[in-house]
Amino acid sequence: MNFEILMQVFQLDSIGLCIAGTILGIIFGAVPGLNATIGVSLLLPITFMLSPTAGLLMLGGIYMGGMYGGSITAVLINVPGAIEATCTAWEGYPMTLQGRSREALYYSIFASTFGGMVGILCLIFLTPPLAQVALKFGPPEMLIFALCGLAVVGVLASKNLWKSLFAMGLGLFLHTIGMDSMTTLYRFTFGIRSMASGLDIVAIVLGFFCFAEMFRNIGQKKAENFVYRDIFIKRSTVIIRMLKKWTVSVKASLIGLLIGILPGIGGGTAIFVAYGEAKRSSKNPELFGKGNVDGIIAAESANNAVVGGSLIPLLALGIPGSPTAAIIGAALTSHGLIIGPSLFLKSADVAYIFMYGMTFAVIGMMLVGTFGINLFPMILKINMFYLIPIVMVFALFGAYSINYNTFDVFVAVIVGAITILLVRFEIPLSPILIGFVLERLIEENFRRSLIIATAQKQNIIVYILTRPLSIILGIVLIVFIVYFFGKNKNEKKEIESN
Amino acid sequence: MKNRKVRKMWLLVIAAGLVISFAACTPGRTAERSASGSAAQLEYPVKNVTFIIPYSAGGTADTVGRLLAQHLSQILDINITCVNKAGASGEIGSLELINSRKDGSVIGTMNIPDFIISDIVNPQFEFDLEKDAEFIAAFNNTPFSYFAPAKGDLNTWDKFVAYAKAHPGEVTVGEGGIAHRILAAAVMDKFGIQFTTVNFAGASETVAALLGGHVSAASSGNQRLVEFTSGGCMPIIWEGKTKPEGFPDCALFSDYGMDASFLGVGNTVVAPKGVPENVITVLEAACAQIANSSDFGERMRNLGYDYTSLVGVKDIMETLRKQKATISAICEKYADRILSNG
Repeated sequence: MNFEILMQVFQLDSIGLCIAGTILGIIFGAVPGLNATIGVSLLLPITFMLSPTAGLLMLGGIYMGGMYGGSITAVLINVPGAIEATCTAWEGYPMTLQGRSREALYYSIFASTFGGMVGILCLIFLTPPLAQVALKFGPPEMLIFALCGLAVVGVLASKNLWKSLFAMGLGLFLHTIGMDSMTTLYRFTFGIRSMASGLDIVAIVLGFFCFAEMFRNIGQKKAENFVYRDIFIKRSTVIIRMLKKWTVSVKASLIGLLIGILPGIGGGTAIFVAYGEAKRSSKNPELFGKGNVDGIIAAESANNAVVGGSLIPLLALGIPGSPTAAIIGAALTSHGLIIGPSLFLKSADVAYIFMYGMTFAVIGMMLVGTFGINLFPMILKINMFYLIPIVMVFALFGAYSINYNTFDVFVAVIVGAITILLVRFEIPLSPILIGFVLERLIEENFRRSLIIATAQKQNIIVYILTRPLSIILGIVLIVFIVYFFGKNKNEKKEIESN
Repeated sequence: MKNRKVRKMWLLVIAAGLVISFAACTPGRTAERSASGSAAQLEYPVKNVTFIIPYSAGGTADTVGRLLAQHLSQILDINITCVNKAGASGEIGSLELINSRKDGSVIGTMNIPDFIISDIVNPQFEFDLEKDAEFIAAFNNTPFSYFAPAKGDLNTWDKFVAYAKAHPGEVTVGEGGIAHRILAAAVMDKFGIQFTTVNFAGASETVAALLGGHVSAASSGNQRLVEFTSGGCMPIIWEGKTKPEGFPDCALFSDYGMDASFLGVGNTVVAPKGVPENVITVLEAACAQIANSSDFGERMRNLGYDYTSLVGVKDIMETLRKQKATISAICEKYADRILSNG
């Protein structure tokens, strides 16, 4: 990198647009129903009018900010703006009820900054070798990796394993609805045209957390008895405590990075795996779900590390690591730049300015998050019966904005109503989400592996066992299953003995 | 006291719901109203036009669609809003497009050959090539070619054919959609060979699968050439009049007397059938201007597309009918191979 490029990084308009994008991203993340992907696709046309680097940095900022923004509403009102913030809600909201919202928000922004920085630094310094990792994962590896993600259900299920497994099955089933992309056949659509594109994860998350939470709030005394408390905590105290827990954030960032690099797996999987791993390695797993900061640190580090990770194969190979990265790739191509290795030869300045400039997105996010903490809790001072309609209106708009289709709005509302039943029967929601997010990976890669194995006249198990990476991942999977479900049993015994 | 508060809360919720449902219903109602008076001449162009793109934001179809919309809006001096209505390989957005207002205020883009294939293989896709849409212009005709690792055993087409003949079904070919499986069926038929197609979710994942060595070859659009070659792969058979840049020894489909251009991907400008004549005339004139501008063609070539342009409903319909006949014949003969992947 030469001096000229470095000077261009520090141009005011690029930095300004990057930070503006980050703030916009935080808003997109925080508003229920909107997320980074929607934000990036909405602002894509605007970037056509900007210079390539300025436009890219703005989109990158939205992506980065959007991954963090969801945690604000997740912590404060138990409504994760996007799937990437669901785990943060499980730990953050109980903290808010204890008056520790400030602490939760600090952990969330510092963890996001750490994860985001790890991702971007890897993007800057390790892009070529890490991009090769994306290529090493063929169908059998993706299959086993996705099964490892599914095994996380074991550690998240606490009370009744069977209910968790049922929920996981339900999640897997729900995702099979719609057109099967490999055969173009319609499954479980009952002749309803809109069902052909399947249920959207955004609609499901809105139903689970936004509508269900608001439906439950309606007419509840909880809303009236809730007294807002704000226990003060120093920034430095939080930073020191987080540094002491460095293993949690480092592990989660690496998980986020790897999942970001792999095409076809998004931030949703990253947070569940990171959260599950944090719970597994925790000395006090029983405190999870009651306001354990480890959960917040893990989830928030992971989702922001995904950003840098998903840009690595995009810039190096032209293969986007996530849907949001794909849209950023479109911004590059519409400026006439060809992504892939030739990008660094033909338009090195754009590539490098983008990579270095992304650090400003992380810094901007940190500043907004840290100093905004005095403002965010204002939302708690709003009376519940104003807050409910506001949140629901945003959620309805959010659901509509997925595909500009009212079908998604109905899905979100109906899922919200069903969720109340699920909660009543103590069926956990997280395994449903994990199943839903991983179904496509598991099914399609299983079928691909089977096709390839058959073509090579091998049994699928033999085929998997001839691939070294598959064997390593297979061992990880077995360890996960034994450990997770074993842990679950022990926990249950403890609960019973108590 | 508390009851009143609860009631107040419910009222607010219901009011909000009403506002939303009203907002959501409005376009539908206008559509009905204007459909009844569609035969009359309308003043066109109107100020605001919606441009439906039946694919998700960020894809190549979206990029080209937005560029088309941008050029149309400049030429006609109107506001064009692009709306992505993705889902089911473009089927959902396409159906919405052809069923929308017939006054020229809703137009859009549809990808050749996606809708032709959906029409043939999917009985639930209620689309009639003759009765449902006016194809005003078609841009690009980017066909598919086959790629394989440059240093592998299958790095020429002759080697590929010889190996596939000796080991029926053992060669795996990655592909990103049903159109590639139709080409595969045609290739197997022509060369009397058998190989196995492996479906991946889109072109990017197909490129990744071949670069990672998980499949023996890949079927992909010509515009992906650079991604393959920079990852150590090369084209082994190419659809086009000239050889791919930098590969003078690469075989062409035409060398073997085969024409694979019937699956070339094109981006159309479409209006629902029943729009008044003058709307078509205005749009045709604008599209002709796009076709004649060097800027648009240049940008398409930069994206790696084989740029062609065809303006005029009659000419396009003629080519589409031919394409449909060819694709239908292959689909009928090899339905099981094309539809039952795994």
